[in-house]
Amino acid sequence: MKKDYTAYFARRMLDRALPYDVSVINVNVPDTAMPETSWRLTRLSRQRYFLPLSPDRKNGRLTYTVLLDNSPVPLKLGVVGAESMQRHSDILRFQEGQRSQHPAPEATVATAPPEMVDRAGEQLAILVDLTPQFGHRSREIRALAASTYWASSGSIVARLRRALAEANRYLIRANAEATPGSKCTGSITCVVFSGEEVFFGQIGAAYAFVYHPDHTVESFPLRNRLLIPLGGSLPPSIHIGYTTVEEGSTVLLATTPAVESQARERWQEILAPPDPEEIADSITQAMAGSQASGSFIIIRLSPEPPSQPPVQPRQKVQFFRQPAVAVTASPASQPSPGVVSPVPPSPTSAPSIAPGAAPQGERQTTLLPATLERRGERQAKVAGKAQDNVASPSFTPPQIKLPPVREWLKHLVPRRSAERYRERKTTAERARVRRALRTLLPGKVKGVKAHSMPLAPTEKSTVMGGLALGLLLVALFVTVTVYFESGGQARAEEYIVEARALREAAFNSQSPEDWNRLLELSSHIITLERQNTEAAAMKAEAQNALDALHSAAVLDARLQLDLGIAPAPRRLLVAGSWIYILNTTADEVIGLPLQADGLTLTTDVPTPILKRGQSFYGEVVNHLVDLAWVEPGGSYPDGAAFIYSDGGIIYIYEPPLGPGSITRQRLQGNLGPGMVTIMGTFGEKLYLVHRQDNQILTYEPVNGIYDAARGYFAAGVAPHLSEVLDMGIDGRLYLLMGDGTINAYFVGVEDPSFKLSNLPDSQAKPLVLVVESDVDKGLIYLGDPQRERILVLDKRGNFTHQFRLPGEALTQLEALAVSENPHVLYMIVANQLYIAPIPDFVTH
Amino acid sequence: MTKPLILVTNDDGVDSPGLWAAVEAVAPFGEVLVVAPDRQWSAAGRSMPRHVTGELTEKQHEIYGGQVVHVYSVDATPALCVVHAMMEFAPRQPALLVAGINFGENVSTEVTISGTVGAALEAAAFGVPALAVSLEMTVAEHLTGGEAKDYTAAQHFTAYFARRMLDRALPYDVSVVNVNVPDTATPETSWRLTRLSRQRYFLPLSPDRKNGNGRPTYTVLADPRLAEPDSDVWALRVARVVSVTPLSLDITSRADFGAIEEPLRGEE
Repeated sequence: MKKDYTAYFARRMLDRALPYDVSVINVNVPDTAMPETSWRLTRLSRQRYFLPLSPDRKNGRLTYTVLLDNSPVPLKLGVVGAESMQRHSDILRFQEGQRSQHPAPEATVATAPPEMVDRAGEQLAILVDLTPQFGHRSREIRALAASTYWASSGSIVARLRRALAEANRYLIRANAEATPGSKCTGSITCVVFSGEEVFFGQIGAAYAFVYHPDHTVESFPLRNRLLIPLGGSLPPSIHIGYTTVEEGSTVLLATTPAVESQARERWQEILAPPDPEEIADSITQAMAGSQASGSFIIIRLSPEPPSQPPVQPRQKVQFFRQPAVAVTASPASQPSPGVVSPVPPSPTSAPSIAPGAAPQGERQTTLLPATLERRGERQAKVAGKAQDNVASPSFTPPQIKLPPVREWLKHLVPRRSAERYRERKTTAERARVRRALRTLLPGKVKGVKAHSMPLAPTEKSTVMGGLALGLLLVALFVTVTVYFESGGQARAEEYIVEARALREAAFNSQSPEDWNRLLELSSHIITLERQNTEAAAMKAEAQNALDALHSAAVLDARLQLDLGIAPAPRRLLVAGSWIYILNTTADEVIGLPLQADGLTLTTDVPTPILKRGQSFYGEVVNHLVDLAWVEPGGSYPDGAAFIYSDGGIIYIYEPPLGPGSITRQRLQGNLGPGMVTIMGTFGEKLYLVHRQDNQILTYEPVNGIYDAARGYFAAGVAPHLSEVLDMGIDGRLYLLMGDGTINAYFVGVEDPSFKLSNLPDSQAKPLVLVVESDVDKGLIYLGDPQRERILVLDKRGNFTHQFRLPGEALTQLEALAVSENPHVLYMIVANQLYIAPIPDFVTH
Repeated sequence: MTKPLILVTNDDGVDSPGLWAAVEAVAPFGEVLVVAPDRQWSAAGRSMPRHVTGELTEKQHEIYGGQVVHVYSVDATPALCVVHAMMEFAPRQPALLVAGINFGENVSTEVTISGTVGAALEAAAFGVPALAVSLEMTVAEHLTGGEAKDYTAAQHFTAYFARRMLDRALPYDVSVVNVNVPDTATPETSWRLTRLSRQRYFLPLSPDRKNGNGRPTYTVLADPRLAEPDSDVWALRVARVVSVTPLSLDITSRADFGAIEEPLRGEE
C-alpha cells in the first residue's frame, strides 16, 4: 500500500504546488492500510513515541520501545512547557452559616497519580450538588467521576466527557432503584487544571467562577443554554468550558445554596484578595451573615517561589488540618495526606469510594513534577519515621486463658473437624464393638442376620443342557421367520412413524444427538425393509445434517427487548457500547446502552436520538434511510453515528455530546428522495449506494466537510446496484445481491480472489451482510432467514461455519450486527432484539 | 534546597574548550553534569546511529572556582549523549540543558544539521528546556575550534540566558533557545530575537572526486544581505549582534491545513 500512497502524493505534488511553509510531506502508512484507507492531515505529536530504555551497561547501547498503552514509560520524562505556578486548593463546608469541620462528601480535589507521568501536574476538582442532599450519593458520584477520569485515555475533554457520562449514568441507575423519597438530581462540575489551561465539564445548573487578575469574572456554564440536570437525561447534556489562568487567578466552585447566598458582585469582591486564606475568611464571614449551607472549592494560582520551604500549616487557619494519623498510614507513594487518591479502576465498575476523602477545609498545594518527587521523598521519610515510632515498642499479644469450664467443654465436646473422621471406626471395628455389646446387652443390640442360602438341587447337566439348546433354536427359528416373512414390514411401519417424529425434533433442535438417533433408526428400518425409500431419504438427510453440523452451532441468544412491529426491516448498528436502531418506517433512531460485557442492556428504555419531523437549524428532518458508524479519530474523537436522510442530508451524532448536539451536513450531488438506499463508512469516508445512477458515491471530508462525491466504479463497470441488499466495507467493498451472491470489489474493480465456496448447500439466500473490520482475519456474516441460519465466511468467501437459533426464529431475521470486542452478535428477529455471544468455533 | 541540575553537552567532543567554557558559565547556577561525546560529532543532527557502542569514561573534573563536575564521556552522538544522561546519569530531571559552546555558528534552516541543536532538541523531547550556544568561526575552524579563541562573550551570553531560563519558564512552543554569538562580540554586544533564515547559509560544494575526495564540502553564504532582515543570518552577519532564535520541537508546517488539503485532496 505504501506504493499506492507514494504514487498518490507524488502525483498530487507534481501536479500542484504546496502552500508556503510546507517543505516536506511526511506520510506514515499503517501496515493494515488498503487503497480505501483514508488519510488525514496531522500534526507531529508532542508525546514522545520512541521511548528510550536504559542500556544494559554490559554493552552500553541504548534500546527503545514504542509508545503503547502498556509501554514502560521512562520515569524521568518531564512535561514540555511545565508551568511554574502553584495551585492552592481549599474545600469549605458550611451548615446554616457555620463552618463545618466535617468532610464535604460532595467535593474533592486530586492530582494525577504519580505513575501517570504524562499527566503530571494535572489537577482535577469535582463538586457534586444534589437536591435533596444525599451525602453518600454525592460521594459515590464524585468518586466514580474521578476514577473514570483518571482511568480514561485521550484528551482532557474526552476524559471529562466520559467521567461525566459515567456519573450521570450512575445517578440514573441509582434513582431507578431508589425509593420515591430518596431520588435526587442536581449538577456536577469537573474542572481540570493543566498548566495554564483550565477545562470545565459540567452537567446541570452548576456554578463555577474564574476570577482573573484584571478583575473580570467568567462563569461556567453559560446560562443561556439548556441545562438538563444531572440524572435528567441519557445521554447527558454535557457543557464543556475552557479558559486560561495566570498568577492571581482564582477558580471557585460552589453549590447552589452557597453561591446564591450572595449577590454576584459580592463574589467578585470576595475572590479579589491575593491571599487564599483571606478569600476563605471572606467566604466564612459572608456565609455566617446569610445562614446558608453549602460547599465551596477554591483554587488560587500563585507563583511558585524559587526557594519554597515545605508547606506547613499555619495555626491561624483552623481548617488546615494535618492528620498525623493519615500520614503515618499513607505509603510514601500516595499523594499528600488528605488528597483523594485517584484510584483508576474500570470505569464500568461500581463506584468505589477512594480512601482518605478530602476532609473539609483541607488545603493542598499542587506542585511541579519535580516538586512532587521531592514531596514524595519527604513523605517517605515522614512515613518511615512514623512507622518506626509505631513499630518500636515490641508488642506481645497477651495470653488468653480459657475459663476452666470452657476448657473442660473443649475436651468433652469434640470439634467438628478432621479429628472426627480420624475417630470413625472401620466396619471390622464396628462389628467387633457390636459383638461385644451384644454379649454385654443381649436383646438390646441388633445382630447381623445370617443369610443362609438354600442348596440347589443336584442337576443332570447333559440332559438339561440339550433340552435348553433345543428350545432356544426353536424360538430363534420362529422369531426370524415371523420378522422376515410377515412381521418385519409391520415393525418398519411402526418405526417409520417414530422416525418422522424424530426427524422433526432433530430439524428443530439441530442437535447431533437427534440426527444420530434418526440415522440409526432409519438404518434399522432399511434393514427391516430394504425398499423403504422414505427411510433411505431420512438416512441421507440425517447424514447430511450431521455433516453440516460439524460446522454449525446453536447460538445462546438472549431476548433483550420487544421492539414492536415494523413493516420494513430495521437497521441495526452497534458501536461504542450502544445499540442504535433505525426504524425506517417510523423514521426514528433510538439508542440503547449496553453493559460492558456487551451482552445485556443497561436499560430497556430507549433514548430517542433523531426522528422525522424534528427541526434542525431551521430545517425539518426528512425520511431516514440508513445509519453507519465513523470510528473514533480525526474529526470525531469518540466516533460518531452518521444518519442519512433523503435529500442528501447527513445527521452526525456524537454519543458523548448527546442528541442535543447533533450536527447536520448537506452532501453535494443528485440525491433526491429514494435515490440512495444504503450507506456505508470506512474510516471517515462515506459510501452511498445510488440506485438511480447505478453508482456508489464516495465522499471524503475536506477539512471535516463532506462535499463533492466521486464514483467508486468506473463508468459501465458497476453491477446492478438496484439489486443490492446490503453492503460491507473493510477496505474491500462487499455487495450482497438479491440473488444471494456476494461480490467483492477492490478499488472499484471486482476482486477475483473472493469467491463463495464450500457452502453446505446451494440453497443459501442471505438477506443481511455484516463484514468485520480485520482485512485478513475478520469474518463475514450472512443472515439467511430462508434456511434459518447465519452463515459465516472468511474474507476469501470460504464457508467456515454457521449459527442457528433454537426453533425457527431466524425465519424472521430482520437485521444483524456484530461487535468485535467483545465478540457478540446482535439480531432483530421476529421484532425482538436478541444478543448472543459468538462462540469460538472449532471444526471437528 | 536542592540545586537545579544543569546538563551540559556539545558535538565537538568532551575535550572541546567551548564545552568547558559553557560549564564554567553555568556552574554558579546549579549542579553541573557533563555528558558529552568522546569525539568530534559535528553535523550529527539529532541522529542516533546503531553503530555507536555507548561505552563511557567517567571522571571528576575541577573547574575554575573549585567546583567538581561529574563528566561522562560517551561513545555516542550528541543526541544520544542526552538520552544516556536522562536514562542513566541524571539523578533528577535537569532544569536546563546547555549545548555548546559550538565551534562555528548554527544558523538558518540548516540548524537541523547541527549536532549541538540536535542535542538541544533531544533534551526538549524529554521536557528539559534547552539552550544551544554557538560562536561564529570560519569553516576551517569548525572541527578544531581554531587556536586561542576568546569565549568570553559567548560565556557571558551562555550565563545570561541560562540564568534567565532557570528563573522563568519560556512560553509554550519554545523548546530550544538557539544563541549565535559573532566572533566580534563582547559582553556589551546587544542581542535580538530572530527567525531562522530560509536563505541557505552553508552552501554545499561538489566533491572533488578527481583528487580522491568524494565528500561534498561547503562554504558559507558570501552575501548575508540575501537573508531576511529579521533572520538569524542577518543579525549575526550583517548587524553583528547576538542572534537568539526560539525553536520548536514541533516542525509541523504553520500553513493553514485547509490550504494544504486543497491541492492534496481537492479536484484534480
